Amino acid sequence: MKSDRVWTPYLLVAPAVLVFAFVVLLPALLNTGLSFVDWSGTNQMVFVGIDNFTRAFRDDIYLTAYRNTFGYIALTLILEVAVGLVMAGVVTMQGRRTAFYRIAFFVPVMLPMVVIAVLWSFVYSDDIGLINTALRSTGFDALALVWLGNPATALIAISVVSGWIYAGFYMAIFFAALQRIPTHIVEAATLDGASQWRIFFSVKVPMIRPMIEIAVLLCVTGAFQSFDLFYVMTNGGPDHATEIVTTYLVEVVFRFNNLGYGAALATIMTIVVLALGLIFARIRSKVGGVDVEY
Amino acid sequence: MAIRNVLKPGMTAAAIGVTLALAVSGCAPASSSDVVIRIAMGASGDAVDSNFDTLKTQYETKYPDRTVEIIVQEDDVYQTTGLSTLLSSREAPDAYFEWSGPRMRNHVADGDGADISEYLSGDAFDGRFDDGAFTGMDVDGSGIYMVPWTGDVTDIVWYNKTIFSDLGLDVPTTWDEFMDVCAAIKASGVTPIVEGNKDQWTVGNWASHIASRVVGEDVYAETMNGEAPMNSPEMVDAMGYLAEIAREGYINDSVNALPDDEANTQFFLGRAAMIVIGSWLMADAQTDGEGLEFDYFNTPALDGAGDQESVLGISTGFMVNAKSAHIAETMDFLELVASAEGTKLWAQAGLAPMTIDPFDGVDADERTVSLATLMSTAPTVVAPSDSGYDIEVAAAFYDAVANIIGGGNVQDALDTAEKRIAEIR
Amino acid sequence: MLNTDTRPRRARLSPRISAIVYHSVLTAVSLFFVLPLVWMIVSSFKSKREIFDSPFALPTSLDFTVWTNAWERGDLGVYAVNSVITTVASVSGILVFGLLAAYAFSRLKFRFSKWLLLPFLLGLLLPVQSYLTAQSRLLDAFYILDTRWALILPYIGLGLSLAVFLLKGYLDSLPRELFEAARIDGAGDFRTLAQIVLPLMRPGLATVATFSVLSAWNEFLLATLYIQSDDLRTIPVGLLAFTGKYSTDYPTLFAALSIITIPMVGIYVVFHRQVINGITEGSVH
Repeated sequence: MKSDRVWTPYLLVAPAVLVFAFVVLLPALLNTGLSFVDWSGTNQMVFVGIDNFTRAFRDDIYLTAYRNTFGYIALTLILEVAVGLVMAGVVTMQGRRTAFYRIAFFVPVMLPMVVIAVLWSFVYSDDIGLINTALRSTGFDALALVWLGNPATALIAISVVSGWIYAGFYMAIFFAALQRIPTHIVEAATLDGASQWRIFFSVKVPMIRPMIEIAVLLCVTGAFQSFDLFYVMTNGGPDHATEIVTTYLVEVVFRFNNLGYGAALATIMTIVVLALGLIFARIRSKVGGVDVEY
Repeated sequence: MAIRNVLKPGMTAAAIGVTLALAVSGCAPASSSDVVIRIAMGASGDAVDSNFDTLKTQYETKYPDRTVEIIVQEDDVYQTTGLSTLLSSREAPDAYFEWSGPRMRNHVADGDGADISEYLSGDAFDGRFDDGAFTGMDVDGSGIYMVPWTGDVTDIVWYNKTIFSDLGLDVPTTWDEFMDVCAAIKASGVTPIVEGNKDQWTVGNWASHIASRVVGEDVYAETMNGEAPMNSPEMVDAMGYLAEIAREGYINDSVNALPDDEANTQFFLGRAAMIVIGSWLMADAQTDGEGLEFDYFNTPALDGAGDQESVLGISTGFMVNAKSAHIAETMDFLELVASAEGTKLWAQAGLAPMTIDPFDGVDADERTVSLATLMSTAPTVVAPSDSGYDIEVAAAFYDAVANIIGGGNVQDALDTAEKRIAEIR
Repeated sequence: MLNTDTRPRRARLSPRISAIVYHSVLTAVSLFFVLPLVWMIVSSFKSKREIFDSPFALPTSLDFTVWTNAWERGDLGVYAVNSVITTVASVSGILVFGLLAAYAFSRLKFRFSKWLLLPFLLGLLLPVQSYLTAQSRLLDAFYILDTRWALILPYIGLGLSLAVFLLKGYLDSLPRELFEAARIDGAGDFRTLAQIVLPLMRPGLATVATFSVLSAWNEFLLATLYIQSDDLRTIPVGLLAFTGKYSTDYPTLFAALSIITIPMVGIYVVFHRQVINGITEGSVH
């Protein structure tokens, strides 16, 4: 359709385009430029070519951060997506009233991440924490570990909190998709004598596969944007066992005042995330417009 | 439903109006006064905060056309990202809290610190400080860039007197005695030492002290400036002391997960016999340490090239922003901070002021007074690596320390730190 | 496969037992989600020593003074007002700007429309951390660091990508005839937008609004980096400052956490259908 006046469309898109350009596009471009300089934010900017990038690939902490990020992704794929899927399967078993549970599982998604992080720091606390006091009072003293202070358990402990928040979210997504499966398909399988679990895994799950793929994409790209939980609960420690790309980035820029190097680290992360996004883009475009009804 | 109501056309227009109105009001200047001066600092307890409010009121009464804004940030935030963000913002503070030494010199190099020696030699500040108070507040022997505020002993061993006397223990003077004390406490079922090393500076500071005692103050300074290797045999020996504590289980298991203030609480509640932290524990004790009998001793003597009587400490003060448009007005405020009356406020709050008459007419706690004496009579004062030296070297060193106190291998931890520092050099 | 003798008995007993098992399992799982929150509220009524010595015991009394204390000492009211202002302003911006742009991109033909739309796709994928250094310098250069704008503008920018694509999708699915009829009636673009598009777009706008409200309300990273003045802080950052200040005053801390949590859970319980819808749909697109 043509507009009634030539300038109308430009007028309509102008506010969105201008704000977006100012706070996202321009900074993204400037950031790429900053990747090639050495700058503390106040001193004289010096062009250093690709030094920042070569340094990044020698930076053990930065590489550790990627290892941790991918470890976190693997853990959250299980604790969020897989658990969410099983939960969705359980609440869609036939003939059950489950509205209460579905509402309860979703509660953590509502809360500010910082509030959750502070709360769970206490849940994990060695002295007043729910978990260790429960373990000690039931005689499992040996299992009462310092969850956030031990490099072997810290990342898992944070992933569990992440699962606590998002399992209900993925359940809601899958629940909506499962609701749209035509009932005659499920009924046919039931008449064949298949068990509920069998129907779920061999009939329902394949039918909501596109939604599962989207969930995996969300989980992977979301992991790269994680910050709050890590920052509040461990700030990357102990000994970088929970250092992820974003926490290290903030440390380099805002603590060490190394703006150029930080920009390079951000540029590399951008490339990684875009690459992952493009790999999934095909899957996504196949799915097309998804229509979620609750 | 509330969300939907907003979407009615009329409501949308109203929402835009509200948006603009609110946003504009958010940008309006805070006050109509002619001069606004901003003072930034990290939080050091309610008592200190309210003292600054008292001084603000005094100042604004004395100069009716001026307003003071006190910007208080959470302590760790201030030291890491907060102050640097403030300084690089357009509404930068006119004066800000900082430690003497390298951190102060970095600000001067960045053009954020004004030479205020002329003001300090003027009438207003005359006789408020001994010359020694300005140690570490110059750049290469010239200028003075700080109004001294407090002298902090950054690590001493605080101990629970009741636990010590119940077990018949004496204050240890050597490391071996110290280990015997720890063993006895552990045998009685109490955690010997509690530390909250989540942010890594608590054990990090102690490690700085131990390192300086073992490798000697000069080598320590070179190491923390990134000029000498972090993984030298002497450094490995030094960190062996901390490894011994970890190995023997003389410290809380949660050391690397516990925030520093929570460690203080555990000490105040008697759940551990000792805590190694700075003189500011006295300020916390005023609110949390009721009824607890406690005292302190300096880290016991070790074997090494450094002064075994050394004290780990650093002076603090307020720097004036060289870019401030109101340097003279800012100095008027800092004059109040350093005045006899201001001094009294700080001493009452449990701090150790750097002025010439720190505890005049104040019923200060004897431990606070003796800590101030410890600092001023120490044969050698060593600065912790995070506030005294290169911040990235300190970060690498503190990582290694956290690893070691968590039970890690000393050589491996220091090798990793050295590799990282080599990259920065 | 089925034994006819046992079948009636199974049919009579098994559903009840399995229902009990089923609901017990789900109740246990629900407890896992709710217990930390209950523990938080219960702990706020206990003394510091009780929290240490008997973490599972119920409080001896329900003394709400610790709650009022937390509210006053923590300036939670100020933080709440700031969060409301920031959220309302940025969500209004997202909805208005997003709808206008989506309408143009979906319904009007104009030069460079593809090129103007493309960057918003980038916005969907880019993590904010990948450009926040430059963003902070830019905001500073325009004197808006440490003002409400420093959060409102980036929140609008972050929310626009989703809003534009989601609303454009809705508009694309509306029948052409609708718009052509309006045109024949002599309605201009703005009248079409206000009288035809807006009412039809309610579900889409509600989704965008819900999603954006929660994102803005809970945002932490930018809020902690861009706002330094205590009187402009939003709830997440204010709460963290609070925990730094009263980190060992556990009852007060738990009270503050409860004060922030309970209203949100309350709102959620009332609007759970819309909220779940908004968030899931907003994420999936």
